[in-house]
Amino acid sequence: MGILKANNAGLVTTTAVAIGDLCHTLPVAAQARTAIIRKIMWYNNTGAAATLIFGTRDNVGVGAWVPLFPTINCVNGMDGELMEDELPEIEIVRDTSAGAAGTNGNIYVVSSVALILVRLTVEETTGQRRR
Amino acid sequence: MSTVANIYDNGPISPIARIKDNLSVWTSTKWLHYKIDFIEPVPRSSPMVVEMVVASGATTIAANGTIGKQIVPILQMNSNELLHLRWEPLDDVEGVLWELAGQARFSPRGAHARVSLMTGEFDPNLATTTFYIVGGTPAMDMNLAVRNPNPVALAVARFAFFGYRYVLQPLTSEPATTTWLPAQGR
Repeated sequence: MGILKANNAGLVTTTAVAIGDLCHTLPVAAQARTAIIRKIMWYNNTGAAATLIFGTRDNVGVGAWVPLFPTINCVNGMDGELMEDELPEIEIVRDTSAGAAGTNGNIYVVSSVALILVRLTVEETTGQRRR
Repeated sequence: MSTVANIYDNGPISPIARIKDNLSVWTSTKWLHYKIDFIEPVPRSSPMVVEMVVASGATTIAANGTIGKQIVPILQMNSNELLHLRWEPLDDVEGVLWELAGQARFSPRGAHARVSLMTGEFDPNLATTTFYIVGGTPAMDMNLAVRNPNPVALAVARFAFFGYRYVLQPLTSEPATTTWLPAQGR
């Protein structure tokens, strides 16, 4: 039960920072939405093998890294994608609990090397889908 | 599909009465009585879509921003006409319905409900978006405000409307049988 949309940070070029590059920002807390990643597409033309991990940040300072997905291997010189059926139904939520107990609900990607191109399809929801 | 619906029927939209039926409309703070002379559908189509960013003279609706309430000209009616509508946004924005500029609609005491892309997910026939516009002097025009729930600016904020148009013949007294229609908020 949600709205499928492209990640609102646009085409992300990773910078290999430890707390991740922003891919998608959730609406403000009052709108009470959550997000589920429905598609991940990437391209690695960096000259080296790389990895990607998708996650969010907690509420410690600017946010400490909270990985939510397992590591994705990105072969050099190749594009890749994961579709809805291949992705776990991880509902990313804005949890306003203080510190490490909370999450800001935005979606970030940590890459092992810079300059990986990443794009997502995100379903913003008002609760997980009933099937 | 029922041939005649209740005024907020939860199924697909249908006329709320038949031609030659009586209709009593709460508007201008009193019940006005009519006989229905004519009904025609108003299909959801491109002329029934309003783009509120352009209509407001802006180029975008800001992140978490608002387009102030304003009349939607495609929904203005002639005297003795009634428009029966359901509606939804076509973009990820939320519509806020006002009767004229001062009376909030879809509004319990503590909130002013909005129509969003999520509305159709839970209410596929958009029954809970039903509202009515009475033409005439003074016209009971609707005003539409728009909220952008996204943390990014949007270039478009489209809303689509569909329903039925009724042509009415005024009656001078309350008929014995009628359909009671609260077109005006209270």
